[in-house]
Amino acid sequence: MANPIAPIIIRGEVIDTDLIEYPGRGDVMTFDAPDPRKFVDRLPLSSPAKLTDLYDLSLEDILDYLEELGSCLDINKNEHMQRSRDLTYDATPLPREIIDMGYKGFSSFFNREQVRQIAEKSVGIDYLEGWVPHKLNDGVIMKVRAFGSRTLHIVAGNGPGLGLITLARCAITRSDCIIKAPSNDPFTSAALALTMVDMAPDHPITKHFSVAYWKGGDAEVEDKLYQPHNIEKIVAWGGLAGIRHVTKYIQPGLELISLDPKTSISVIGPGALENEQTLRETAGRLAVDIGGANQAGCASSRVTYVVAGDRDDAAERVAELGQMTYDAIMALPPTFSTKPKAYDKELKSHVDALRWDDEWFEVIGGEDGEGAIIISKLPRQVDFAAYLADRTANLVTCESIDDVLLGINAYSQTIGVWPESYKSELENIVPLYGAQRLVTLGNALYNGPLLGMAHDGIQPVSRMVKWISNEVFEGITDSSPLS
Amino acid sequence: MTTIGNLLDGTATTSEAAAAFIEDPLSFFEMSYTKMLSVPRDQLHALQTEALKQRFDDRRDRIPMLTKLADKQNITSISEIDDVLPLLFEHTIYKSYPDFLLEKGDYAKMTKWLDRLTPYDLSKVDCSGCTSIHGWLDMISAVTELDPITSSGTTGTMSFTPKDRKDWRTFILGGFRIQLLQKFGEPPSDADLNEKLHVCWPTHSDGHTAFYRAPMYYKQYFAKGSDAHFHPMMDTPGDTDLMYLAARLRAAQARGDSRVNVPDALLARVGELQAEEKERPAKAKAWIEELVEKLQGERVFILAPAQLIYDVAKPALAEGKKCNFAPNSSVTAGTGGKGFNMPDDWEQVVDDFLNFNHNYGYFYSFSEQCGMHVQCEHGRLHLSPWSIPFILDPETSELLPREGRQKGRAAFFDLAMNGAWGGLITGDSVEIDWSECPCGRTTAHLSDSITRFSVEQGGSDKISCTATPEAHDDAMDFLTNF
Repeated sequence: MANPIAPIIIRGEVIDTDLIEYPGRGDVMTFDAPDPRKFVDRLPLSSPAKLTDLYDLSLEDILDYLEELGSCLDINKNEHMQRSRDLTYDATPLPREIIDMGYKGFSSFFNREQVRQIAEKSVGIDYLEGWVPHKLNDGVIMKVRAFGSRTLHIVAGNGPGLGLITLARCAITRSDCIIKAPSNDPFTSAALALTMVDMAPDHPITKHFSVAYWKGGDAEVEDKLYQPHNIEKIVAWGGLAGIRHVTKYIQPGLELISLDPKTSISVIGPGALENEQTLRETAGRLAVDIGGANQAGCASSRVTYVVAGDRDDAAERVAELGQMTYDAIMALPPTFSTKPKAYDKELKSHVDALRWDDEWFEVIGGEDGEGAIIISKLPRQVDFAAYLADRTANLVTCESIDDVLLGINAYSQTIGVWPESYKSELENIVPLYGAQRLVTLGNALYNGPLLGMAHDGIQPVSRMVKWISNEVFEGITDSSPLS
Repeated sequence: MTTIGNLLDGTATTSEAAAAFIEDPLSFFEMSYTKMLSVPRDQLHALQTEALKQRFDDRRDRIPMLTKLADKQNITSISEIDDVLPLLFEHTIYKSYPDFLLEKGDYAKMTKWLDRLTPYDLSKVDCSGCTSIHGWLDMISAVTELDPITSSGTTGTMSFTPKDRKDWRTFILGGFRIQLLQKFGEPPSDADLNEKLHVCWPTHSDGHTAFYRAPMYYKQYFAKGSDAHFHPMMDTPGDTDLMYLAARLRAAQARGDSRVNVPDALLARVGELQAEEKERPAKAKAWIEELVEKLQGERVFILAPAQLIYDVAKPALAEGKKCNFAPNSSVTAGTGGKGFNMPDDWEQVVDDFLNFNHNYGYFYSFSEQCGMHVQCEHGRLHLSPWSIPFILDPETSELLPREGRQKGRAAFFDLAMNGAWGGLITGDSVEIDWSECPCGRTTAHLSDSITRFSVEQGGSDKISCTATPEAHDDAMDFLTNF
């Protein structure tokens, strides 16, 4: 059978010739794609002046385009997306139901008010649409505007929607967008681009959207492309190795906006252990943050610190919470969480090694590859915490917040907290250790970061734009150095 | 005593032979490489099955972790080799203690943990005076037959495998001396068995990691205990706690964290690590002189992993210095083949320096067991007769058939193991071939492309926003991971 093809789409033009094979491995499938070396010269925008067509569009025009595109992405009608989804079934370790859920969400992704909110909260619509005047103490008028830039996006492949959020961010900032597709999802962003070409081949947004796959680190492609005369900003989502080899191209005129690989945790305060009812509520929330989307996201909870204080029945309470959480994960609806297609081998060997140790650990479930809860009776996470996946979480029994802080570092993205009131103990200290997001437990997968206001410790959309000032001295002479 | 000859000519029963085999596999094969690897396949199978039964019967109630596993699954006896499959330990079991215990220096609890993994009784070992990992392991090997080994992976957690002295003998004398010095098809010569060889060792002469502890046994079995024949780069023990500290520092650094979870007293020793690093070039230089000048034309045994030898070989070569060992020496070089990154020219540099026509012994082994699987002239790694392989489907962990070629996760039951349970599921991906090899050795054989699953999975160009563990790639990793 012929390999599936991941086409290159350059500014409205679809290329599916000059194919070469990219052999897959692990959860990466074998596919064909056009030889990127033959097309790399055509990928960048030939001149920054060619961004001006985006400035003929108003925000409402942009919202119109995205809204119409959203309706074209309906998975029941869109053949490009159907094909991409079907290929993704085989290509990723995620079960079908979870993939279906992702693709189903695409048609509402570009909801007009949602995109408007992204524009307002991530940059500010006034700054995107025109010059915003600020009167300074000395009477000078400082006008500021956010301009689009020529951007390249190295998107992650563990969630199919990253191409869509990238398009939304580029469209509202009037940026030129090149997506480097990941080998673990080479099809979805291409399907998005194909839909745009079908819908409005000559529209400026279509003309400023390109998608291609090349092997990350392919110097023949990247040496040419990653140059300040071609690209001004590179947005890299995850992939430590990927980010490392991009850094060698960074120089004045070419900026890296790095959304480093992340991992997330939960923190449960003593109040949650009070009684059966509070335990059950906590377990239900925890199950959502652990099991949701099969724990594939960087916001998915992997380690839960249960601060039990000095209560005598801490061990029993944590054990109860563990069992309830396990049960609640198993009871999650299959469209949201389901038995993993293949349980990670390395992880299984770690979990099984602890299974027979009831003095310091307790393992709940996991014998059938369905997911597991590992309770640490001592206040440290398991040493294989970095491998936790496939609906497997570690509940750590702690006495105090000091034990929690040991688990927080620069890789810590989201901390789901319960009860809500317990956040006050954490909110002014965990950011100093590296944590980037606090959220009410049960909502870790809410797309807060995608608004762009605060995402992995930065404001990525605000950094994608070029902030330009226009200082007006007319009528003021006394602050000029010449006066 | 009963030997393989008695089994083959019918003067011993399978049961008698199996008892002798597991008591002392080397004497059972009369110290002969040829005899070890010439047992007809069906007879070897019968011998291994009986030996496995005896091992299980003897160990079932003496290794607490095994007792638990067998009880839980209601396994009271073994009649076929495959019956032991549910009783194989994951390799990770040897680091399944809570980190917190080492962090707090609670060696009494660490001993209690180790006690569950060995048939030796450690309940009487008094660890109250132990203040370091090194001291704890010294104590255990001083008062018991155990000589445990440690290693530590990328997360900085140390493993502890309770090997005993007999296990070390089988591994070093049976695995290395017998298999690497003798020629297959010929009886062992007196020199093969008794000659003192010069042992060259590219790091510390002693310690508790496999790579630090092994030289004491090489000295015993290759140099016959002779100091004059023992040439370590450093004549002091490698300090286990400093290794632990180094691994912890690196793990913390990889996480972007300045906090290192070790006892304060250990953290205060960080200067010693730097001092050691500083002293190394001078010691390496003196060692190179010894290899090049003093051992010219001598019969040596040297293990020269590229991670340790490349940076000393390169400057030596630049000065025109290279080795010139006797042709019947045993030289092994390489990278261990498990996902290390080396400079592009490593092979050339190592080859030129060792000057041994690339005539290296190549083998596969792992420190938790005593099996050593040596490459034949057809490039295949033949299993030691005391290692029973189980190749598992990488996805489902189902046992793959014992026929033809199969690729999967390697598990072994090592019949020779005394200090720990012989059943182990490794993290290695191997390809096995059950058919006959043209070289004439009778055991099943592996391809030399052996990878770790953890490396295999991280090797593609897939990008995820989720942080995952990373493979490291230098000498420290080699030493701590070996």
